[in-house]
Amino acid sequence: MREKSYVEDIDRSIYDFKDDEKDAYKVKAGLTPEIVQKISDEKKDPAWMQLFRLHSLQIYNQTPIPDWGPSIEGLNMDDIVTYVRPNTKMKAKWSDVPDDIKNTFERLGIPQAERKSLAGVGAQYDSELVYHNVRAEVAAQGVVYTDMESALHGEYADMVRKHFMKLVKPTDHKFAALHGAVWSGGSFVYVPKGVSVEIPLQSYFRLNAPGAGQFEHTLIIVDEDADLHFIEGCSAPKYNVANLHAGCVELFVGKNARLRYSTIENWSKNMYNLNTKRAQVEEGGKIEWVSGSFGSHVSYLYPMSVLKGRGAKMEFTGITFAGKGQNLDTGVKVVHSAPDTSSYINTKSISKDGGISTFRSSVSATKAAKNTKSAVSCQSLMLDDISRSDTIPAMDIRTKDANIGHEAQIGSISDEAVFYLMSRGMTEEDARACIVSGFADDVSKELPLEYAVEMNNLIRLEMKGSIG
Amino acid sequence: MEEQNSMKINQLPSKTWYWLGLNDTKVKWAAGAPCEICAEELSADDEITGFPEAMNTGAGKETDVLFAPEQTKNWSVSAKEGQTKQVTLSIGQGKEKVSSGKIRAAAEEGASLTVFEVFEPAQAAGQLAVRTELYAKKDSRIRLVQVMMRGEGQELLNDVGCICEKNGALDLLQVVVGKGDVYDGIWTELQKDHASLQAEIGYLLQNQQKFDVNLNVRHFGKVTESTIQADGTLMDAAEKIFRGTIDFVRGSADSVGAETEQVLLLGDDVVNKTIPVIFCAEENVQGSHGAAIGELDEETLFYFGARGMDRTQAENTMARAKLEAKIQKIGDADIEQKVKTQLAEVLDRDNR
Repeated sequence: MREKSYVEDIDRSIYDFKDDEKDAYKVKAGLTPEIVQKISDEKKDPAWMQLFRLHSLQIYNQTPIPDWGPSIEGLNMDDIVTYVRPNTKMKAKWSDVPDDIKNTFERLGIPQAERKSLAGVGAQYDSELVYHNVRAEVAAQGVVYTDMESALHGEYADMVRKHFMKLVKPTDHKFAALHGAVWSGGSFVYVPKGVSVEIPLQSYFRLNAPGAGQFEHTLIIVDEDADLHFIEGCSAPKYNVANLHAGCVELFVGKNARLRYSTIENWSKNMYNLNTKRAQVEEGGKIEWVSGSFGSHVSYLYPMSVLKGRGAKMEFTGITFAGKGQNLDTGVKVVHSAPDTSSYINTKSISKDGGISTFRSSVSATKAAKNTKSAVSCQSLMLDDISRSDTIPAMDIRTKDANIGHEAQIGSISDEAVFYLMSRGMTEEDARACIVSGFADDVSKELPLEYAVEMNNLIRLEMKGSIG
Repeated sequence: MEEQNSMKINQLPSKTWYWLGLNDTKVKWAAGAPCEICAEELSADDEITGFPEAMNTGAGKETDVLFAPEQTKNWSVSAKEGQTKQVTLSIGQGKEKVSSGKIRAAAEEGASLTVFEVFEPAQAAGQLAVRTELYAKKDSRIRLVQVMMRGEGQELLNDVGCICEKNGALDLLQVVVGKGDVYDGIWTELQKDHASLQAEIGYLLQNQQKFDVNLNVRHFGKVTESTIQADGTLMDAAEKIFRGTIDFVRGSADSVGAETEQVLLLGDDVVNKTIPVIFCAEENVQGSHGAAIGELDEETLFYFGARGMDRTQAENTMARAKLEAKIQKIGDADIEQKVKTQLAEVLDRDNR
């Protein structure tokens, strides 16, 4: 029998620190037409948006809770505060952001990252953006990067109205409807025709208020022949009450355009992460998803791509790490609905300390998707015998001119590999962490260096105390 | 007109998105009369003792209503300790439009039992439901060969359940070469150490034929092994659903499960749905699945082209060859010939 040793979990204080609640305004907990109306008034919505919110609430009330994924019994909407406005307006300089909030983002490394390697940053604190800035040279190219509220009222109002929740409709599922009713914050990006944004834009979402929900909306339109890398990060301190994240990301990738959307998700482990992400790709366009899921108590997360134009492409590279108390149901969906489209999906998942990781996917090819190609590869690693790892991949192919491949593997770390590394001087813990980092290498090499380092740090954090 | 029961069959052990239409299959099935079961080698069925009182099956509990004793032909076979036994069952719909049968097969310790089940075409449209329950005791082996040759408008519900004790094995071979719709549920429990399942399914579907499969294997024992291989061809507007689940239950250490599927798509209106599931609650196991779905690759087409065959000829040759590879494994010359004749008849349409 293998000898087991135990190492204490290390302090997660990098992410798990709390600010005093100094919010300027928050609605009552729960979800009623009055609360939705208050949010709409607070945000000075145009009339169409106010109606949209109330209609979404009706859909929410009529839509059943999903019965096919992890349990969300611990989430009671009557206890969730859906709008918390921080005690500041959005600023374009970090020096103008109140010290406590600024310090939060300093500790998370956001201003430093902006200085070093980003073309623009949006920082959301609870329900509103507190900082937004884009480099002058990027703005000079015609790139629009602003908060959703400004976009909704400014010169891009028509564009927002044309695209807002058209890809992810409130009727999609219960939490898309919830998002439609109470959304707040998020970013709007427009990259004009032929413009290539050389360095990434980033939005960072921080939820500080206990028992609150964050419902940011990200709308990105990359026009013909344009190119963008967008990075999304998120974190929250841990509380004893449930928090909720039901954001929505809608990505429109134009003809021959390319969009890379990278996410490192590190919500606290009391978070219900019921997020929806979807991309629509036109002829010759390409969407690249890079996704790392480390946090949350429960996750439902399946970025979806609709390959609408001839020759559209999708690549998905993802990793999910489910530790103690976590049930992470993650995966990907792709619909091939035009000829010559292709998709490549490569995912890894790791379960330890009783964590549950489920990879769930679907690859669909319609009759119109002649000469479609798709390859799916998913690998799962079980680090102990109290955890769980499931794979539930589906394929629905309705054209004969298709080439669809799928492979999946579930297994554990080989004792031989651990022994090999230990014989070269590593401790067992370091050896196992090293093997897991190698397992996650496909994802980290797709990220900018700073984020790859963060991801490897997260893996190292999670691997502490993993021996046994 | 018989009263029809609406039921959900072939339920996926864990649900996924409803819009995929894979969580279950809804059918309407009437409760009918006993079907015909003719045994070629034996004049009477065997008494079985110690058979499990309850057994899970692939089609699921809702189909129990179809197998009530008064409307079901019951038949059983048993191989005694250390015995090697073989039986061939010809199963027909009978004179009724709707009929049912239930077969129990047990292999005692160290025994080897082979059961051939040939589902014959009927004279008229109808529904035939057959449940086969298998019990492989310690160190025994059951080989179940099912040949499904139902005619047009003739539906078949084939429901299989199996329990394997220590070092017990089930070898399952299914060949679908008829014209009628087939609903196929298989549930195997590898309850004790070193138990195993080897399952092979071959099919050729045409016109608007449907083949709906739900294959589950649950690994309870240590060092258990499962291999699942499903290969087939869809022509015209044929539709196939394949649900294949390997479930490593906690405690099934050192077990291995592998599942592969290859589907050749040859029709403009085909629908192919596949969901190969692995559940894993045990650390020291190896589970894998792989699927290849689509048309013939360029290399194969080039190979045939170099031998003077055009694309259509190449496709039909490959479709035939895929199924013949399974037919050759049946292991009974008479049945193999019967299936080949049926295959020729199926493919003869439009000079395929």
